[in-house]
Amino acid sequence: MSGLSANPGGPLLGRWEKPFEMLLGSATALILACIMLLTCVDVAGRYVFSEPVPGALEVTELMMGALIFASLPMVTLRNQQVTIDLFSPFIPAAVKPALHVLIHVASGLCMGVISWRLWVKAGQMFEQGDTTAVLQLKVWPLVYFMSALAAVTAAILILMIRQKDAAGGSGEV
Amino acid sequence: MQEALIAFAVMLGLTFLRLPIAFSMALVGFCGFAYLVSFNAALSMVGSVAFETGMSYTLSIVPLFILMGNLVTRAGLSAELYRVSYAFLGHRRGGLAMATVLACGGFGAVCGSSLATAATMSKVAMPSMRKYGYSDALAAGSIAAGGTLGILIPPSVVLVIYGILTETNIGKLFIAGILPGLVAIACYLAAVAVTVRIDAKAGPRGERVSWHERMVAIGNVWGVLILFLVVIGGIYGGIFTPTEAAGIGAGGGLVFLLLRKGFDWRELRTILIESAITTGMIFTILIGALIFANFINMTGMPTELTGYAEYFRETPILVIIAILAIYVALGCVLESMSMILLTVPMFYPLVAHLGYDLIWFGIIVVVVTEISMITPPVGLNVFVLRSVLPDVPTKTVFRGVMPFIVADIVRLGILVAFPAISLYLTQFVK
Amino acid sequence: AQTTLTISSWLPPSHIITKDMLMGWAKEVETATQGRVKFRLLPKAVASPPGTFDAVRDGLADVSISVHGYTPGRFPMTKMAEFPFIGDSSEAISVAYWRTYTKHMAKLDEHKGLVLLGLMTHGPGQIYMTKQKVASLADVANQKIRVGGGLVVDITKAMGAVPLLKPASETYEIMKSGIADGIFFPKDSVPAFKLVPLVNHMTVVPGGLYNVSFGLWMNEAKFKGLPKADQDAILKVSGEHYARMAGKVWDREDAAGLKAMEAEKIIIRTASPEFVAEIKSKTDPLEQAWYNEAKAKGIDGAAVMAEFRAEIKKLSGK
Ligand code: NA
Ligand code: NA
Repeated sequence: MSGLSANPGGPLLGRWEKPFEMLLGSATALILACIMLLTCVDVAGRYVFSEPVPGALEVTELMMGALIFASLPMVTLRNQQVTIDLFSPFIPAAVKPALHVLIHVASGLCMGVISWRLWVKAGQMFEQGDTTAVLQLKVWPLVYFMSALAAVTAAILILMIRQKDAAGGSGEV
Repeated sequence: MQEALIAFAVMLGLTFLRLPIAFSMALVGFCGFAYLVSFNAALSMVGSVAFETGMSYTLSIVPLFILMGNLVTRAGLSAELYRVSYAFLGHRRGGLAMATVLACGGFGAVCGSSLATAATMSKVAMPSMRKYGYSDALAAGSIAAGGTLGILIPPSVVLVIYGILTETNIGKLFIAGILPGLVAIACYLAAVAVTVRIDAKAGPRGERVSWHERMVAIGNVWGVLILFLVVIGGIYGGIFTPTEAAGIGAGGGLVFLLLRKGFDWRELRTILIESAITTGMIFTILIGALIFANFINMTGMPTELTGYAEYFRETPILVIIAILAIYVALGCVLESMSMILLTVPMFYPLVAHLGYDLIWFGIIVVVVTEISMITPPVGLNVFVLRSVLPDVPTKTVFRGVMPFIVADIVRLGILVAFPAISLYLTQFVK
Repeated sequence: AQTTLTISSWLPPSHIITKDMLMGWAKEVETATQGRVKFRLLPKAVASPPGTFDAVRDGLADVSISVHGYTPGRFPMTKMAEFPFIGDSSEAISVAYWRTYTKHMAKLDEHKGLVLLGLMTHGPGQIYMTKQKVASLADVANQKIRVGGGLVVDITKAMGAVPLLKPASETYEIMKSGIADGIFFPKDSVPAFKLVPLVNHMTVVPGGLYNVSFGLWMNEAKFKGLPKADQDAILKVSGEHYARMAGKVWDREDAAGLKAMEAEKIIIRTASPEFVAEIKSKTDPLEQAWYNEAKAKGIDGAAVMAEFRAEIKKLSGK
């Protein structure tokens, strides 16, 4: 299983990698902490003050969207996408470089399509005026945010083409 | 049906070429959907799946239980669990390996992930087993296998995912995991006993611990007990929903970390980020699997499978055995979360149609998933051990887990034969 | 030529919405088109309940039913069918709703990208509590009530209760465990969700405390791709015809639901005129707010509501 090895060949984003991870890392840490706190406060509010937090469910939903998509660039940068290395040893060394490129193009394409469709969805939600049920929050800005982070992830996947093949044929198995 | 099988083969082929599983499923699912419905519908489907999966209240249970597990891991509860198990079992032959299994079970009661359980236990149990001259195979095998208890004993991320996929009550699934978890511990203890009977040198005796020290050790594990009672007891007694219990459990884990290690902002930030990254990894697979499942939905395969099952009305157990065989085979080559996400949507309507209880089936699925985590060539727990203990060869670990795989298969037989073991406690859930 | 259209439902095949309304309509279409248009119910829904509208518009499935209130902000004019005290019969409300909505609101094109084939409401929503009897507004103050989406959220808040928007699948647990003190539901749904043993008090609000608007729709391209004769045949069994059929089913299930509850120990009381007046004083501002919302779109909300209510009265009188 890859996933456990760090990036070979230095940071992918050069001197930008540290600030980038700092920013996204802090964002995800903050969001996850907020989801936890909100759930606890909601339950406590219900029992202690007989008053749950209004709109806790929908705010959790919005934070989940932000959390998942903000974590994706880091999942990718740290090579944490689950991959099966089982058959690596049987792939001829000659095709490996080409395969490396193809895999990253295909992965980037997947994230790219997700980003594009979220962008379209955000536009539709803006037009249709979709809001949350209790607090009547507008949903479209968050969906643009999700789309942007999916695009960043796609870009990272494409940039990773330049990197040396992480498995290098040795594989973990 | 044909389209589904072809797609399945292509998908597996792509993963074997090292395309990440999530993207293999998404790509094949997208192309299949475009072929069966239309290109534009497939594009729209991708957008909906990404949006709905990302922004789901029910799924917030996943990052919260992951966070809880990571918090209790850093709080160091594992060391005390091991100490108390050692105090009672250490003086027996193979006792340290038995203590490892028991401590894994205890840790599994506050941690929802097998990988985390195996990783944290390896740090505590491996040094002491080395000190007493245990064979690397038995030592690593007991940790890798014991770690799988993390997903059977509640809380469990795998049971959460199963519950969401099948719309089964997650609280009941958790409670259903308790007795099979005890059966599992018993089977693993037996596996250790048999192993040291065959090869006494594999697991020498440790020191006997006085009753006084035993009591002191027991007094130190109250933290684990409280957290388990609050989270699982809270679900059992209907004080909060499983999603809320996950939030409370994470909050409780945080309290323990602060009590034991003090407030360390950087440590806390690291734990939160690691939990977020694991969550992101799982959700990428989830999105890919749901795209693939949407395509399968269009092929009519689920309906056809149910149709075939009609031939086995008289002997439905054959269908269950066939499904289990498929799981064990797939479990050899696939990663466990992907395996569940891929197969459960296909199989559960069939199982329900044959009149089986979906809670029972959930427990069975978790047990076969546990097996998949330690079977070669792809066994996630084994890889975790390898990354924590780089000097132990993968082969040695796989050799060490063999007795435990046998124990797993015995347990699977017991749970299939006696559904009451899984279902008995669920009738009392409020 | 023969066409097979896919139907997606987020409810199980045995639920009345899937079995009687969606598939009942599908059967009528098959007959009306002499088998030229057939339907296939997908094993699983192609989208979540709120995502159903987009799923049909974009062609993931061809036909589906969903609740307008699941996507707040998108169908503001369909709230007209969700106000309190509009009627006691789903059939009358649904038929009047179809007539009034298509007459006055069609020009707003709220269902853009879809062919709107039918509208309906469920039976009048009532009050069910686990412990607390409800005979006045004071009784519901700060009570935690599980509700679905739509206008009922605002109605609950206006009454001084706390709306709990938990997933429908958790209804039983949150009632049993006391996370929710009660639920606003139509009569059929209490037995359907197996809540009867948990409910001790029911308060019947004449004309209903709230309602929920459902739409039946079809993908536009698929509809336009059908021969004219088949389109006409579909329209013939849709619209008002469908509203009547679906409303009848709901009235039948509501009656059965009430019977099931009467057989148990549930204490059933009818809201007094004073209580009704209390509720009205709290929910009237909501209706007023909706008039303003309609006005911004060039609709005389007050006149439409008056016409809608008169229509229901006329249909109920029959
Ligand atoms: Na666990
Ligand atoms: Na395996």
